[in-house]
Amino acid sequence: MDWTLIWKTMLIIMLGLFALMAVAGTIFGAFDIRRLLVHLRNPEAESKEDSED
Amino acid sequence: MSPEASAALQLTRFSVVDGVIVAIYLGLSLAIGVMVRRYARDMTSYIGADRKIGTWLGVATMLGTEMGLVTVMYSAQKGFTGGFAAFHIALIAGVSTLIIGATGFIVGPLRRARVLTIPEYYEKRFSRKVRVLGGIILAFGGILNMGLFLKVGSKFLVGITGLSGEGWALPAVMVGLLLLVLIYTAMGGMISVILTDYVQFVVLSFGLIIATAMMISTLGWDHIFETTQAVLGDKGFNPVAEESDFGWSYVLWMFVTAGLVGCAIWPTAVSRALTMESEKALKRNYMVSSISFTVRFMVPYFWGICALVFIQASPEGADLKALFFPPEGSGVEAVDNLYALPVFLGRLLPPVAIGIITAAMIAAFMSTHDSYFLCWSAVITQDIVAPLRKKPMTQDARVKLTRVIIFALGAYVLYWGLFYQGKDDIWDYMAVTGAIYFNGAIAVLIGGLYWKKASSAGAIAALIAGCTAVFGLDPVKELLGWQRFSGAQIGLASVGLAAILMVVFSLTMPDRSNQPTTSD
Repeated sequence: MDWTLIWKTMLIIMLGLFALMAVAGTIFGAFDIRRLLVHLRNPEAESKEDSED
Repeated sequence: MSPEASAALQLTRFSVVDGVIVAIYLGLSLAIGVMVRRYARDMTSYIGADRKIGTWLGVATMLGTEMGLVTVMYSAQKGFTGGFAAFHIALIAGVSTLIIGATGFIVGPLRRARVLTIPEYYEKRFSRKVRVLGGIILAFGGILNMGLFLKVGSKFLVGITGLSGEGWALPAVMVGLLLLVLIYTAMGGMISVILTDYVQFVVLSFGLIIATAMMISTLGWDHIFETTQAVLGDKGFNPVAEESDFGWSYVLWMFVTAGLVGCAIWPTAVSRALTMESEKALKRNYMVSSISFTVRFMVPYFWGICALVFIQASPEGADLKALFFPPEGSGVEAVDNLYALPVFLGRLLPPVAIGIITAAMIAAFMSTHDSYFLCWSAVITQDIVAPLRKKPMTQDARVKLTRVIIFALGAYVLYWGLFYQGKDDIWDYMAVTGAIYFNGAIAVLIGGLYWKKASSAGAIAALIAGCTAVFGLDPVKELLGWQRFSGAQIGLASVGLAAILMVVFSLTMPDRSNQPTTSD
């Protein structure tokens, strides 16, 4: 088993995925914060909770 | 520390500009945390953010919480000593999180049970006694677990900023950081924690990527692998090689700790699962977070390896070689290798970049502290104090008590960080203190969620059996003459004992009526 090749491949793939995740998390996380703040300002407005459960 | 070592640690490129970057970042975190304090109306919003966290915000806060500065430091130490072979831990953590996300194993039913803490689930499924006992063990193990966070964080700051570890400046900085975290955590609870975690996620993610790219470009991709091979040989790549620092029992133990426990049992991670807006969002969060659960170990290991390469085979790090690897028989004591990463970063990174990385690492420090403070204080209030009181506690009283406990925990962390003079075997200490809780919790959670015959007697026996993890601590092993057993072997035996007792006591002492959990 070529351990060097395994760890090299893992490092490259995971760093690439992490870079994508950082960008996506930054953008979509900001949208999630906006939704959270809207809810916290008017908690009574959303009586239907966990509709996706 | 010798004068030569102190002088070498102060050769950093950290400048005033970097200090300003760090100060701006800290001010931003405090401002956000304080601004949202008005939203903490009751315990559900204070410790659960009204269960309204979306997938990506969950991903951000999960990375912020689970990638603490202490994780970076001890992982870098593992990479420094174990080389690429340590990557197996990152691989196990990532694959386990992906499987938990795909199946919803443990975290899915817990979210459906609509509890705020793990011990609260114990009461729903078993009894109030199990909740209180579970809360005490969880809080005890968890609070002990964070005892060395401040001490390790201060070593990082000494190494990267060149601050003297002997004078008053370092304690002042550490007290300041701790106070800042305490203020915003106590004021806004989980809402503050989530929002500051988001900022910390952004700073931390891009900081990790920038620093890693600079290390590779400076040291050279092939040179990093070749030097590791030359210095560590095969054991630097193969975790089960004969002369490896790891071995099969260690790898198996990592499936339990870094794999199952890290994402599905450890309370700070589970508390994130319980704040998600739906089970679907929870599963998606875990599947995406499998990347960050891999990276939170892999990148610090890689940084530790790069520090090794810098010290062993780089002209700029030549003076450090004699300090970290003094010749045998010279009588010189090696500098603590926890300093290897920050010293390396302090010499490698240019001004501004060093400020960003320092801010990122302080982000890691703060985002872990805030979540831990909130998690343990919530458990003490909700699962120990409130159930033991004869009169029910109001929501307002619970929030107030949780805030007081947060400050008490801050005082404890300060005491341990500044005055405790124990030995610095960080990983062993953390694994054993954490295992006091999770060795029993594995059996109780899996048994409670997936086995109808699991009983309160079985849960209590498993929780107590899990405390045998303490036998893995070096001083206890020496006391009992158990040095021939590794911490991993004792940990695995303890997990097995808890599982066996859960089954035996549940079958011999069943509850009068067992409620199916998923209908809670």
